[in-house]
Amino acid sequence: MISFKDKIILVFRSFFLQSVFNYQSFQNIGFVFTIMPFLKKIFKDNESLKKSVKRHLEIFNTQPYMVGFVAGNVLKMESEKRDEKEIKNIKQALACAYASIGDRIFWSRLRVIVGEFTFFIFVILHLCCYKTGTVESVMVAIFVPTIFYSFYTVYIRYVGLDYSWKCGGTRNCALDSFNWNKMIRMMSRVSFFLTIILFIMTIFLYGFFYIDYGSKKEVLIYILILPIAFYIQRYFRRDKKNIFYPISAMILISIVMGLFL
Amino acid sequence: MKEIFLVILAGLLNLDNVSAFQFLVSRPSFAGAVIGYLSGYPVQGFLIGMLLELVILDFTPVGGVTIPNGTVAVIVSVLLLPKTNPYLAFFLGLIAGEGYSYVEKYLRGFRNRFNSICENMIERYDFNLWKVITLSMILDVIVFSIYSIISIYILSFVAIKLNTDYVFKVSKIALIGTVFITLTSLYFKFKTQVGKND
Repeated sequence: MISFKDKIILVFRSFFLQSVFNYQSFQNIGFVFTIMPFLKKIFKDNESLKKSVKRHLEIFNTQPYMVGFVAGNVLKMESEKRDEKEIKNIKQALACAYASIGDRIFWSRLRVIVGEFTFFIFVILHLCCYKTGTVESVMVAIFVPTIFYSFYTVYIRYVGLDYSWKCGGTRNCALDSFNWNKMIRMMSRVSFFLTIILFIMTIFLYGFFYIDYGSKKEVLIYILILPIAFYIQRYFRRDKKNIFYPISAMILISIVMGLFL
Repeated sequence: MKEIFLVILAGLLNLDNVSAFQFLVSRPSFAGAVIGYLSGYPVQGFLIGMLLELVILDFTPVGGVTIPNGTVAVIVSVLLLPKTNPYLAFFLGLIAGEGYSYVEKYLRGFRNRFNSICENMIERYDFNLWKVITLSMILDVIVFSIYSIISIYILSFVAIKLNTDYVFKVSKIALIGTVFITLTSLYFKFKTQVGKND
């Protein structure tokens, strides 16, 4: 059986999953490092432990927060002394499935939501609550979303381990533990909504701090930047170019605009 | 001396990026605020970091892809603040951050050697992988620090050369444009996602 202490150790070690990230086998060393204490518990003699460790040193790549879902399953199969090939196949299948889910939830959406919240908190504290100093606003703005995000990722690592240990040995193990599609849909909507608010807020602040001041020429240029930036981004996005292309184009346009100021 | 201390601190924060934890303390707004606070520019550090973060959010670090490094970008930008204006510091930091993505690619290739080290250890029944993990993280911090110090040194020189009124105006306009480019990018990214989901 996997004890609470084992789970805590496994979750802690999973923080180092990508420490030796390499192009040959990706997270293999980190994965072995994560499950090592429990493997030592299962395999008492060095020879069988060595065999098992070597098996897990093969290529492995998943989303780091979702590693619990794979590790719990693998450890359950190892403890049941399942067939070597079966363990390998299920491990790879789950790693791919959870990588796809985790990337969409954490890297594509939640990371953005955290960034947007950081900005909102700063602006709200800085502009609305006059008693709060700017440095304090910055500190609250950076720490609050980060703490929430960190707790959530640790929770996912822990419950992943818990769920996958319970259903260990099956190809679709714990994939139904959460309604992933609903989560992804909801996060997309939240991110979209926050982006719109961020956009409106930025335009308001921009108008307040920049457009109201300066000479007529300056005001005109500052107003023109907005549609130009929008158009440049759309132009390069159509060709699926990364953000450095529109930024470089913006620098070139600014060089020309600078001549008129 | 203080700069070296700050670079090493940023190197430790950068471990959160890929190597350990992933608690998002390496994201530019966080690292920028912390480094800015310690170097006397807390708000500028945070705001530069925030904008760098908006740029970097356009990239998704999936499947071993290396993206521009926000921590390098922000440490370079913040440490350039005493030498130049914040607008130019932002762009110089961004160049350094993009440059580090190539260093990171090389590092990942270099770490392939750790596989044979590990295999040899296991052959000898040495299962203590802490040694490999620690060594790899120390390597990360050293490479990060050396790269950042070299970048700061070179870009300081560039910043001093470019410290004119014209460059100030140009970089200010370009930075404002960048803010709207990043927001437009995020808007269309999520609009597409919401459309797909529906």
